Amino acid sequence: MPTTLEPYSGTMEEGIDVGSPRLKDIKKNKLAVSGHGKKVKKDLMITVIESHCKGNLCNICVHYCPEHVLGMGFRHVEVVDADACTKCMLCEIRCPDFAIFVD
Amino acid sequence: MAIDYFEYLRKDKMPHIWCPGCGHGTIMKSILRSIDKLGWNKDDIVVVSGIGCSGRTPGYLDFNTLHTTHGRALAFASGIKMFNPKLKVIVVSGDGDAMAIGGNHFIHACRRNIDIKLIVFNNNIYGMTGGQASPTTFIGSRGTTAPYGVIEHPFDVCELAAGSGATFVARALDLDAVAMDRVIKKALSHKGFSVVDAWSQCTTYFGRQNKWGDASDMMDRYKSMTYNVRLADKMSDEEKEGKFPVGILSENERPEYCEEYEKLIERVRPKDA
Amino acid sequence: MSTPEVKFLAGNEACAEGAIAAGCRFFAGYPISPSSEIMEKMSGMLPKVGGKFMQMEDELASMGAIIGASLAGAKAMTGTSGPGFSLMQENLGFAAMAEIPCVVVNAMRGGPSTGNPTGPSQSDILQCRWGTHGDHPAIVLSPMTIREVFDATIHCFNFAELLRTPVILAMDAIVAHMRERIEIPPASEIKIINRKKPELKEGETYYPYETTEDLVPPMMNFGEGARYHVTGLNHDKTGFPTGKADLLESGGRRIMDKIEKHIDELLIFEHYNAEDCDVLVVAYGSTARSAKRAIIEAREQGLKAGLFRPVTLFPLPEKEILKAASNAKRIVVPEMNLGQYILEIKRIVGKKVPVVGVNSVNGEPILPSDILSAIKGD
Repeated sequence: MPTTLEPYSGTMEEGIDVGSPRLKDIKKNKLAVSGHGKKVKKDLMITVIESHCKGNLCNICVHYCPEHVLGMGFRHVEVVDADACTKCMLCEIRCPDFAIFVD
Repeated sequence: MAIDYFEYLRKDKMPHIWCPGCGHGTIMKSILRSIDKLGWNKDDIVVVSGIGCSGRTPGYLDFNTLHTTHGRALAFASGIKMFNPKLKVIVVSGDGDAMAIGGNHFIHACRRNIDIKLIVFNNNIYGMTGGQASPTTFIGSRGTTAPYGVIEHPFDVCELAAGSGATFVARALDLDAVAMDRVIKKALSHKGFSVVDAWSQCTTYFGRQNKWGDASDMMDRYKSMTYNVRLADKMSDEEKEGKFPVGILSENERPEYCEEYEKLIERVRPKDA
Repeated sequence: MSTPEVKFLAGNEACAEGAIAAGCRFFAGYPISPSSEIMEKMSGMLPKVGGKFMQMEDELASMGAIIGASLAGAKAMTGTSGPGFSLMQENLGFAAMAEIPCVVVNAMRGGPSTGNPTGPSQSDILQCRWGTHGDHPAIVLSPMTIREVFDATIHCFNFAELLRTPVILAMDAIVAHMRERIEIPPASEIKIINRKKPELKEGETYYPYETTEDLVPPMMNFGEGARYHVTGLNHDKTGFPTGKADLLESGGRRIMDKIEKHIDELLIFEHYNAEDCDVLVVAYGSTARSAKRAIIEAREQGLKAGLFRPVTLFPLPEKEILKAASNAKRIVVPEMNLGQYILEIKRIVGKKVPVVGVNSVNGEPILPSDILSAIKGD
């Protein structure tokens, strides 16, 4: 059963340029939203830097996730079934764009 | 995160300019993970590139970076390494850059066994200039300069490297990025000239012209064209026919060029100097 | 050593000695007549002083390797002749664009193409100035005597380090191979210039291409902690590529203007009987030796002839040429080519004075008698 996530709000902290922040900046400033960058379940955080993700034109992480954790949103990948994640890290390792990270 | 990638990136230059689905970013991440595991000091690392899509790589990396003329990265890198052997010199070059215009420098660097690590970002096409066929484009495949299919036989980067004397030769797919990490880490720590033929999918040109599909289709197709060299003994010749071995293909020791030259200096330098 | 050392050297050998004296500790090259001896000598001398030598697979690699070594901190040199010099053009442009000091010796032989490998010429002069594409600066020196080869090589390194640019030593094959007695000065008398380093405060960023007052950015080597980017693309002060119109313009102009700004430090020339001459001869390299003989004979015959001999061919010694030509009724420009430096002389003096060339590409030195005829106006 997928965890119910907060609806996508599409906001960033005002005035923060989503260049390429360090992970601690992402966590501190909640730059990735909609269940990304937040603890989605115990001991799991999937972070998406939305400005880096090339979305459906790439689709590598979504295609190769063995547990179907990810889905392709309008412009970028989204976590759809966090409970299923086994932290295999394939999404992070195969992503060419520094867009998705698993902790 | 496997590692803190941003430690090694020039953050103000990101995101990079590579196309959606291009594998170059995956290879670059693999290089960064390997450097992180080896614990190298950033000030000692020099990344040299030629021209092309792979040529943009050094701009994103927070090391000493040099973006040279087409095909000549190994020549520039040889000068850097020779004069200051303490620097760790990594050359990133495309298949056209290293195998066509840079072919001569490729074979001579292999022959010298100079302690430089060459990662060939092999996407079987000239990407930056719009999709022309390259010396590694598969026979029969299309490029903008081979609209009826390539009739030339392509280079096998690894065979050429081994034949020219490189002491570490390996091939890796960006699909199996974990295996690529292992291969690149070994290449970086090897003393001598190391060549990694890293396959990367060019979705925009090679993939589109040859109708190979999107990034994951291309990565799967590359996988089907290869076999793991460690399983080679258990495979029949028919199974291996027409396919490329992946993994560490050869690894041996030979005197390294810069060290040999240092020994020469010791031998001839006047003792009172 | 505090006393001069006396040797009997060929031009190529003096060039190698000059390079070592200037602090050159990296040489990469490819064999080509008539410059191979420079490489051979360097291969023997460099390891003895802890320097590094590489014979590369071609001239393109040679040029690339010396640029790489220079970035790693070396004073680096390569030597070649016409066909190899043509191959080096792309990377020469890279060194000019990325502002990397290095020295390229072109021992000029007959051309074009394979030409006359063992015969002299001066037919690469304009290529030395404009061989590579784009608006790029060039500093070109042409020595006449063996001692001058030694000194000019040191000047080449000094100018390269001073201005962060490649410098070309264009000696013709006669100078490269002739032998003369040379007194090598002691090291204490040799002036060496090294690349300017930045004075950075704690935490201050290094900009590899910032516009300083003297238009020459200070240069840090790879491995010294700056971790900067070098590219042949048009770039801004950080070294990263840019396509902005104002930066392309200012960057492109600065690499040319920096030469002009320091021109007085670069011009080396000689006047010989030129103060009161009716006929001025402008000659360089080994041709100037024939010119001197012609002027001596002309003076004996009552003709007021004089010589202006540029050692620095480029940047052009415009003021000095105009001054030397101010009283002249005629200018004679002998060259072992079909007329190259004469084009610049004509451009500089304009319609003021008729300019006549003495040209040959027969692979032999220009004779004093030919120059004398031109002086007389036959």
